[in-house]
Amino acid sequence: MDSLRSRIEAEIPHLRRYARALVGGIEEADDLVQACLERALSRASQWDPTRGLRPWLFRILHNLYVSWLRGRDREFNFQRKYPEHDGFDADHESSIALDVVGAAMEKLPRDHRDAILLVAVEGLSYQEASSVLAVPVGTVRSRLSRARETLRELVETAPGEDDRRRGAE
Amino acid sequence: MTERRDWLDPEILGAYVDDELDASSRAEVARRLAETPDAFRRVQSYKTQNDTLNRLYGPVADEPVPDRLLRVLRETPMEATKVSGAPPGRPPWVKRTMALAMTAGVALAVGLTLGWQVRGNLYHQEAERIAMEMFLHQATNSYSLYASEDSPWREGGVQEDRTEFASWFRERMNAEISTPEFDEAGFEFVGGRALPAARGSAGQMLYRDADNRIIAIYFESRGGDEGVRRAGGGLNGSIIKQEDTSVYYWQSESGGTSYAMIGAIDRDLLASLAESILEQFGN
Repeated sequence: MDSLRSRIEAEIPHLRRYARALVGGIEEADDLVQACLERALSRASQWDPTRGLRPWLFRILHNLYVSWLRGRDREFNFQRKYPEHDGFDADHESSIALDVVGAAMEKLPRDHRDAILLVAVEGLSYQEASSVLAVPVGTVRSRLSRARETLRELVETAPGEDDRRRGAE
Repeated sequence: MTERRDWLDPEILGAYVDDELDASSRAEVARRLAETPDAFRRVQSYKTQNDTLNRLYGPVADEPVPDRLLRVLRETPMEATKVSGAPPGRPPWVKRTMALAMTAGVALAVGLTLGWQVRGNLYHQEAERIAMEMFLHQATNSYSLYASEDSPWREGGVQEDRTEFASWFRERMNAEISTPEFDEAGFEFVGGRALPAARGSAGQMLYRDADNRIIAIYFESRGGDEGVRRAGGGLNGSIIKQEDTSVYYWQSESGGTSYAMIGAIDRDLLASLAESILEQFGN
């Protein structure tokens, strides 16, 4: 296997994670990743080796996702099919119930959710996220900020959060 | 009031959490956070969000990759890449330097995990440490891509004059960098190049001796440096070693520029070269 293939292989877990966060279902997410791999390999000459591989792959994945969305109902139907994460330490000092955040993420406008996933989960810089989303860096910054503020608001006003806190005492 | 609104604006605080500010802005925000509990809470809450989002979405990346994806990866024919001169198979310099990059990667992963647990005023310190690990990761990657003896890109597109490179970089990237010389030790300047940087500006300088041994200095500037001289005495560099490659790294006085010297040479020789920079740029 040559080095570009092995470098792409190392990116698959990241691509799968982003795809799963975008579309929810495991099979649908892996379909996106598969299409992304096919496109990346067949267009390998378009990759500029002086630029990062991850932003390039993410950009391909993101574009495929956008066309996938177009092929679906415009009113997006975002059903996450994550397994329950029972194994996490509920006493973690900073823990917020995952389902509350998951529900809040579903309420975010798609643009805002994409920005926070790329930066906060995938660790892309603003510059890299801007090239993935094909928007200026300033737009990434403001979408991200609005995503964070909305999440904060949704999580803090989530019904049941007080009960949960009381229950933990 | 105006100042307060500018520096503690949610967008700026977000950029602070994401390590997207230059050195002087970051210091300014950190200073104001210490005296503004509201803003400090907002930063904490963004960090908690990051932590939670990572626990929510993160585990997918730990799942084994399904066979069908690996099959696609192996079987999809690949169009020839731009690098037509690259030898088939993984060249030895990739193997050698990948181990080094992976060490930095592991350190980064550990750093990030630890980062989630850090609270209060440790946060700023932790962010600095993570930034340093990311820097080392970039440094070792750029070495493996451009500086190793059999790298196909090594000689291409470099600026061959040392002083011209410094002024060219200053004009083009608006960043002040030190371009040391090691003529006495037998290493001559081969060339310098600008490299893409996720944050700030970055570049690499190459030196070669009569035995054709190469050392590379990778640097990243986040601005905020007014000069390259260090007022203090010690270089305060650190050295790490992986197989036959050593890395010596340090920061400029203001913390605005980080440097890493990398070479497949004896570690003591690398350290003494790096320390001679102190003599050139120290007091």
